[in-house]
Amino acid sequence: MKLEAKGVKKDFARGGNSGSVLEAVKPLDFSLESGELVEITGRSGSGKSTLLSMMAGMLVPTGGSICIDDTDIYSMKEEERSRLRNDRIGLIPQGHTALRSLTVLENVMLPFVLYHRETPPEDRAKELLQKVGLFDMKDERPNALSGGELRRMAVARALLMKPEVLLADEPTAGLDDENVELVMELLRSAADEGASVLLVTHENEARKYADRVLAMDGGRLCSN
Amino acid sequence: MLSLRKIPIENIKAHPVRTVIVLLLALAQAACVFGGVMAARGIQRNMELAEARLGADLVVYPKAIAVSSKINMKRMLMQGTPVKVYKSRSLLSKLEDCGDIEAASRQIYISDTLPDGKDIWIVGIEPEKDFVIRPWLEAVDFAFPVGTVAVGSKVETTAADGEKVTLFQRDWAVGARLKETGSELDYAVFTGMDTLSDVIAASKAASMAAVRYICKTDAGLVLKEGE
Ligand SMILES: Nc1ncnc2c1ncn2[C@@H]1O[C@H](COP(=O)(O)OP(=O)(O)OP(=O)(O)O)[C@@H](O)[C@H]1O
Ligand SMILES: [Mg+2]
Repeated sequence: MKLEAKGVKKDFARGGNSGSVLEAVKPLDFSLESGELVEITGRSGSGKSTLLSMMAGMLVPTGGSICIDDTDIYSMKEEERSRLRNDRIGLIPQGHTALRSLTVLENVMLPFVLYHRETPPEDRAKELLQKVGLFDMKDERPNALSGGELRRMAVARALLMKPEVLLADEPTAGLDDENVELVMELLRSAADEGASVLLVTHENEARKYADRVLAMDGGRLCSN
Repeated sequence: MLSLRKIPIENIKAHPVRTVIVLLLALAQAACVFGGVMAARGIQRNMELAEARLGADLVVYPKAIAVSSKINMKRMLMQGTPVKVYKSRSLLSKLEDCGDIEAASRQIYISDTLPDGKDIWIVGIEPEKDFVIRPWLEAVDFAFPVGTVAVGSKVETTAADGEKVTLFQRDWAVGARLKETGSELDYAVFTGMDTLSDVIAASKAASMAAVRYICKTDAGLVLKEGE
């Protein structure tokens, strides 16, 4: 599956009544092929997360379009887009996004229950927890987990629905070398199985897993 | 098993203090809205009742009495003070045909003298059409069944077996009471037109009896009765 950004841009209104805007992402073209792992690096505030959120169907661009297999996802109705995100896109957002009231295992199964009434795939969730080294913590509440453990939980959650597109915003932040390795292996194998993977990271280690490395600077994307 | 429905429930359980506070705030808000609506409704009801109690806007009376100043015109309209004059009934249907008049209702006043010498007014109304007396009833939907009367707030009744009032030497069941009006109507008895016919019949029978009784005892009193 092909995910393509055409002339996409995002302006944010600056605080106050000045009416000036911040061009977080300047018009850019970018495409992500199936089976490909693309890494984007860049300074803090350069617009990486903004671009990733737009690619994920979570943030409406100010201009341009994001297409999945030639369908503009922002021309869809909100419910359709939500359904598409759930079925086909796995997202590892920046920061911590666990529900405190559910266990680790339940948090991982969450994407399934949004649109399915059947019994959640507990075995697959446990298998993923095993892969990210959190099996023993499956019945804990998220506030018993460390920052790195929560990142890994988010990786397992993003992989649950076997997404065709995987968008990871600094999935390895706060992890030790061993766990960076582990998460990168997981993302690489997702790409090898045919997913399109976009990875935003500061990690130098990630480079060796990527097919392409791009850099973002002041809202512009350039190949490295 | 995890399901979409379970998530909010788990969320509620995970934050008991927050849940209680939110619940209390929600209840307080609901109570405010409910209380406000009830208060507004109560005020509206009272306003409507007060408006209804203003009674008629027009009273039709013969021209002659205005000249003779037999009655105080203002009191008649504002307080429904009984009068001793009348217009023919055909006038009523003429009034009803007039598009500008929303409702018309007639009343017939007769009076009896109580044992203590005071006059008591008996007001015959049309229960289905009346809009002047009804708003004052304690039970607004009282139907004035035949033989049963309503009484003003200050009318004395006997309460031996069910409330009764004595008119023309006959007992009449009291079915309803009026709220205090502050007018002469507080001392009046109200009947439907059918009951009024019975009251009038009773008055005839009673006066016959009185005349007969008086004739037998003291001829001088007969003259007084005829005054
Ligand atoms: N919702 C928003 N409203 C206003 N400005 C925003 C918003 N989100 C992001 N920005 C601004 O857009 C710019 C790009 O933000 P973005 O989060 O994309 O940066 P980033 O490259 O992901 O940085 P980091 O590496 O620190 O995560 C920043 O200057 C940020 O302040
Ligand atoms: Mg970011």
